[in-house]
Amino acid sequence: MIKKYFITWGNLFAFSIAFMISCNLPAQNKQTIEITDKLLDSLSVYVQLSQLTMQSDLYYKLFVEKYPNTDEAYMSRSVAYNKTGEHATGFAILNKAVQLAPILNLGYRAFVKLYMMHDYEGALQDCLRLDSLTSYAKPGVWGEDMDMVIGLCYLQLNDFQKARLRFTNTINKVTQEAGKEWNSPRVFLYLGIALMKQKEYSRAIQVLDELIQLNPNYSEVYYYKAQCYSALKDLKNAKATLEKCIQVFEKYGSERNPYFELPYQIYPSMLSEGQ
Amino acid sequence: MLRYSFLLLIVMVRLMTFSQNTVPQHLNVKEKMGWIPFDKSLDNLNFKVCDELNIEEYYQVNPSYEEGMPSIRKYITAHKQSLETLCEKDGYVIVRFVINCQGQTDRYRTKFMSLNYTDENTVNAELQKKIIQLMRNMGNWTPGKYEGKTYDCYQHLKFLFKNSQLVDILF
Repeated sequence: MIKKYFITWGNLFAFSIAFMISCNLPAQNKQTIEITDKLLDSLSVYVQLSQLTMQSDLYYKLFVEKYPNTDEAYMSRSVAYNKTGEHATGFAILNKAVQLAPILNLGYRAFVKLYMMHDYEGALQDCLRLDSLTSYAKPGVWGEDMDMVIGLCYLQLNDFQKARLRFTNTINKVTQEAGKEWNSPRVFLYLGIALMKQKEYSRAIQVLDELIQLNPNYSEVYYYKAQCYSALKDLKNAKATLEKCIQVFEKYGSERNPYFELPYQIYPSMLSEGQ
Repeated sequence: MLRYSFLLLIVMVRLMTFSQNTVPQHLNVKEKMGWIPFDKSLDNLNFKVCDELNIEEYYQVNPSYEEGMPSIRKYITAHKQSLETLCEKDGYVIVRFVINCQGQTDRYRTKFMSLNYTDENTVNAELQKKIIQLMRNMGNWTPGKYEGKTYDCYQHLKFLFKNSQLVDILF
């Protein structure tokens, strides 16, 4: 069905152009290909099929040759490179998108740096720059709350005080605008962990309890709460909380992302080691 | 009206199917970004993939090594010192490879990227070789799977070096 869909005159035309471009002809025989809207339209079907096809990459390559100031094309082209581990090429292309339209692309670059590269300093710089450019409102960082992402960068850089401030800002803002239940569970988790790292275990337990109230099936929260009890030498509660964690983990698993490992993700071995 | 609603529904379902990146897409691997062709000077002749034309990405079929990143870190940490002695420059060693539908691995390719995200492939050549050697000895992975079917897939790992220390391994 898919094969039939692609055998159209437009696609055959695009294929032949793509073939001509990709042929490694001697320099004197090289022909200049006019990049027409028709050619781009024909190739655009591959973008709908998958970001990962070479034809999709060719589409974006030709698109930016014809329309060099289109930041969206640079950003979209970078995705396939970053997803396949070709980060140097991916970032070189993404940097061009940021250069053309920083407000629209800094968030995505920060997201990739933070989660896919563990470049916390780089992600923080991008977020702070985005924050300074958009002081009238805080745009999301690839769908995540900006203060939460900035807080996470500070947390990973061991600047716990600044991290706490940002997480608290996020919780207050979301709670005020939409209600407490609309907060991401991770913002409570990160705030609890920041408090735990500053050895404020009782306060950390309070924050983690707030998360349990909102989302009792979130296994991570029990694990870190059990850690706080252990640090307080309250072994009875530590054991009970870890047992609860195992129950919830067995039933609901833990939060995962297929593209990267989440910060403070929990694994079965961590639960058995804690017992 | 009903007819148009039905057509709209079909178009939406089709777009949703095509835009879902985290399921197998059955693309011809030779038309895919990041395709690793067999190279007899680098690759194991006995390594076979189930479907040479259909190798998915890791995030579409979720292969794993034991329980995941903690197991990989545990294995590599045992060899940390030997890696650090070979580190000439800080940055990321990025390893891309194939996990076949039986969980065996091969077709390792590496790159070195500086902390400023620039390709510097000739740097840390011995370190790159050592990482491949270690990964070849890791043993089998659990192959990628989707809806009960196992798939061949590409995976990559990044080894992050700072101050000549291996500080992180990530995917």
